[in-house]
Amino acid sequence: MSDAAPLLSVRDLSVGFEGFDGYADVVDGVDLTVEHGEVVTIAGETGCGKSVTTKAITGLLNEPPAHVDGTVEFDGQDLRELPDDERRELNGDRISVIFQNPLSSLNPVFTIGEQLTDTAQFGGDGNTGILGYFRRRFSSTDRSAARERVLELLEEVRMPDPESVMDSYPSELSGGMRQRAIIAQALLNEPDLLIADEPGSALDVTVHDEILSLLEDLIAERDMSILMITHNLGVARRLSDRVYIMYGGRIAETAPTAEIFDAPHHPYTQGLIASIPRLSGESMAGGIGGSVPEYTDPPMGCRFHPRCPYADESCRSSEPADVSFGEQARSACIRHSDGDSGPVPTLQETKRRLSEHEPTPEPAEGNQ
Amino acid sequence: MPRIGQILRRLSGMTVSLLGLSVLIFVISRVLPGNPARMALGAMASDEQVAELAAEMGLNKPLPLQYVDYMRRLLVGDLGQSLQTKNSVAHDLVTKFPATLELITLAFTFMVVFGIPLGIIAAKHHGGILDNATRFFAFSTVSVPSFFIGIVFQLVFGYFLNWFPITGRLSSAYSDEVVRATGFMLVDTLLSGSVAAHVDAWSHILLPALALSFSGMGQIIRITRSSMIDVEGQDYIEAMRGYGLPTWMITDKYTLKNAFVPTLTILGLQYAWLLSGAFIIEIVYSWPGLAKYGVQSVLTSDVNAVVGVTMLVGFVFVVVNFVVDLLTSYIDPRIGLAGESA
Amino acid sequence: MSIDTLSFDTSGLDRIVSPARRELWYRSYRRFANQPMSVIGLVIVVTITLAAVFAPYIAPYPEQVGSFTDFANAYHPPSLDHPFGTDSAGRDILTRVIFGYRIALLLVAVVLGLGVPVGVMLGLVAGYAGGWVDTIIMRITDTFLALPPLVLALAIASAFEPTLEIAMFAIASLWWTWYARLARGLAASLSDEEYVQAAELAGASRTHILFRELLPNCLSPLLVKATLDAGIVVLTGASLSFIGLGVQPPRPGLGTMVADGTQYLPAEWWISIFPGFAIFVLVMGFNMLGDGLRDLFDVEVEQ
Repeated sequence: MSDAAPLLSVRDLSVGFEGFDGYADVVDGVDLTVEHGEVVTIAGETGCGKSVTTKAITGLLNEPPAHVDGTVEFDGQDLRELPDDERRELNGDRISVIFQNPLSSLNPVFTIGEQLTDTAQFGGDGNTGILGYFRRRFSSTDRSAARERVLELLEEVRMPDPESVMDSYPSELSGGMRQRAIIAQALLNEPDLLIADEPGSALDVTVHDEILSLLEDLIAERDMSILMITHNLGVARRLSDRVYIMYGGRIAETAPTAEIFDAPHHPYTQGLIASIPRLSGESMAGGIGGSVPEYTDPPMGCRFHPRCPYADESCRSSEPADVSFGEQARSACIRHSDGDSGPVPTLQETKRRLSEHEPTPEPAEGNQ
Repeated sequence: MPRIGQILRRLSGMTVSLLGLSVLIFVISRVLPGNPARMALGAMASDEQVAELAAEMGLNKPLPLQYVDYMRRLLVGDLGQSLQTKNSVAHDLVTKFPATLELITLAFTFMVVFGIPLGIIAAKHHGGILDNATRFFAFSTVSVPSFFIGIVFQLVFGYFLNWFPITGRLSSAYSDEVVRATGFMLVDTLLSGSVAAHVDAWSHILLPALALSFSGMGQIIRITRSSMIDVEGQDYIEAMRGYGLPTWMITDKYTLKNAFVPTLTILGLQYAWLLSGAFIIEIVYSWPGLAKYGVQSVLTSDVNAVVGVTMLVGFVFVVVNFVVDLLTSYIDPRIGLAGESA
Repeated sequence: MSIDTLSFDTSGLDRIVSPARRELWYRSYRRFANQPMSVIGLVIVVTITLAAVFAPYIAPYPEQVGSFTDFANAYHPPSLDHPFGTDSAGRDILTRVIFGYRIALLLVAVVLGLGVPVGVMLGLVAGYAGGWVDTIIMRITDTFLALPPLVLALAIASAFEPTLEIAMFAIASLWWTWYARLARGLAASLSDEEYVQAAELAGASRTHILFRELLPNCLSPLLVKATLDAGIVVLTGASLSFIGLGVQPPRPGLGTMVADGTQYLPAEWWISIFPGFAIFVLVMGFNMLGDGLRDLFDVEVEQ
């Protein structure tokens, strides 16, 4: 799959926001690719910049206040160079999004049927003029075809009783049903790239599990690429072919899913995996101490160093470069060059050190 | 969608409000001033005359009984006699109310026609010069005393530019031609078939209606602006953009309906508030309506008329609130009816 | 636009950012100072208040406030000697406007000074106690709110001789209802908060919870509401005076002065226009200040 050009290729993407508290650097030099037919996950803690990364890809950030830099290449076209109207043509047609919150992503004052039928009929037609819109809006054949399509999709996402769901308002549906409606909405126009922001994570565990199985089936049945965002490594492992681990607005490590869980390289990835009892065999009390950095005042050097058990002066002074571990894997840590044989650091050592490690208190005043 | 049960519950809440209102007005009219009979007859009356009238008015009975009396007469629409006009208060209200209703309805139309588009424009140019100009205008309209804006309009458009007459509803030249059928001058002049009189009626009502619309217009502008901005930032609007729906369809279909819910609430309240504003504007423009009648009754201590006017205004307020509740819960299925949230 | 209104995931931010209190004040100050309208509002309110307090010292002709007559100088249009002109009795209108501000601000102080504490107390009790106490208090409040203040004040004023004191009493007797409703809503939502429940579990008395836990958290919305209301109180008082039910001549009520001047329109327009404009400026000041405070504290209050 690496022969052809990737479907999505993001290079050196940076996003910042100008706010009252100064300039906030939310995404800083992110590189990532999604191949045709590949399922890729960006995983990281809340506040690591993963959602903003996808919003920059879909063009849903308002500039200003956001400042976006870098290239976002979709199927050979640089989306950031594309005129606004051509870019809107792609949204909903070739690129679609499953938004994070299944309640707030559905308009509360329209029925599911109204919203989904409009999406089926006009999705990806961001440039339809007012006349064209009215001609099609009141063409009953177009409308009923769109309605048929919505019903088909609702069946496909295993929505119970699709006919009556069409006439329901979002507030009348359960969380799981709303999530299914959103998935159906995102798939209505057969996108080549589906971006899924924390699918199902707002739901309780059993429903979340149902949604994940649904996604698994959809992935198997359909020919599309998925870029998924999650803070849950279990989801990443279950659904994706390749994983990006994001920290403090940067990619810490990437590798095919099997590799990253078997042999994580970056101390942060190792810490995450060590914190999950089911994945690491035995649990590590306390997880990784400390918390993700402030956007407005990120740490110098490696962004992870205040929490890293290996950190020393050099981590503070220099930014780590990517080190490759095979064709698809790379990790950004200056410790990688220390070892002569085998990957450094090791998961066992990281675990041991983390359990004794106290995160460096930040010099800034007022931090807990 | 409101259900029958909810509507019934809200209706009973409305009844309780009206009952409370009647008690409040009863207390104001019978208890506060001491002796309504003395008030009615004036300081010159002898003690015997006062006692006689007091007996006639039932003021010797205990208060709860007086209240029952008062309620019984209220329910059949008997509001007593006005000391000022010597007519029954109910008759006075019926003749005066259309003029006020006509005035506030036109003012309300101005409020909607200018306020909502200005709010949308301000939201579209969020943070820009147009937004700030609109915001300043909105501030000014809520801050300006209505009698002041009324006087300024009279000065500028009446005295200096001589475009409009400054008082009354109709020039005396037409008063014989026009048949008082509905009490609404704009309608009556048309029914009488006199175009000139109709134009004359318009020229009389424009200034007071515009002046009256000012106080609420700022509120409408601000609520429309802020709810448009609020809705545009919602996830479901971003979702629609993500699905590539036509831009203007997102604004005009998916934003406007949501944004209209808070606007509608304020609109309803403003319609009722115009009644309050009319109390001032009718004085400034000598508009022969309910409010002018009410103010005159207050100034002449015409207790029955004051009770009648206050009761009618309160009734309109309560009913308008009820209707607004129904409408909002019809538009937005998430909103239960206000009566049950307490 | 502040960073916290952007639509990206900020749930992590709350946890991370905990600036020192001093910095928080500084930021609030910056946010406030960044809005020219709020600063102008503050300047207007402070200037007028100072002018009203020191009226006898700064007014050009303090002896002309009341029942002074100097018919030789009546109906003077605005001039350097009389920037706002003189009225039918030859009194300096600027002087009377400055003293009129005194009455207007006194009205605000009395109405809010009585209405806010009474309303807040009743509202807090209703919201915190719930049950029938809540029902009774809120039913009474609803009844008062079913009538516009001006009309209700008219009805109350009709029962007495029209004076400034009666107008104050009439307006004050209704104004508590707004605060009762606001405080009740806040108390009801706050009594579900964890810190209040924690205080309850710790055995704190009801008064302690009301005054120490609930009240301090209601203060910023109350301050915003009171500032915005100050403008409405001024307008209501001026309207009552304009109708003839408030301040009586020869006392210099702003609304009274406008009403007096209407007889002399259009020729002697300044007799009405300057006092009317003076009301507008003060109310505008309160509104701009209140709006700035609302943004600053980020609270929603109904108007």
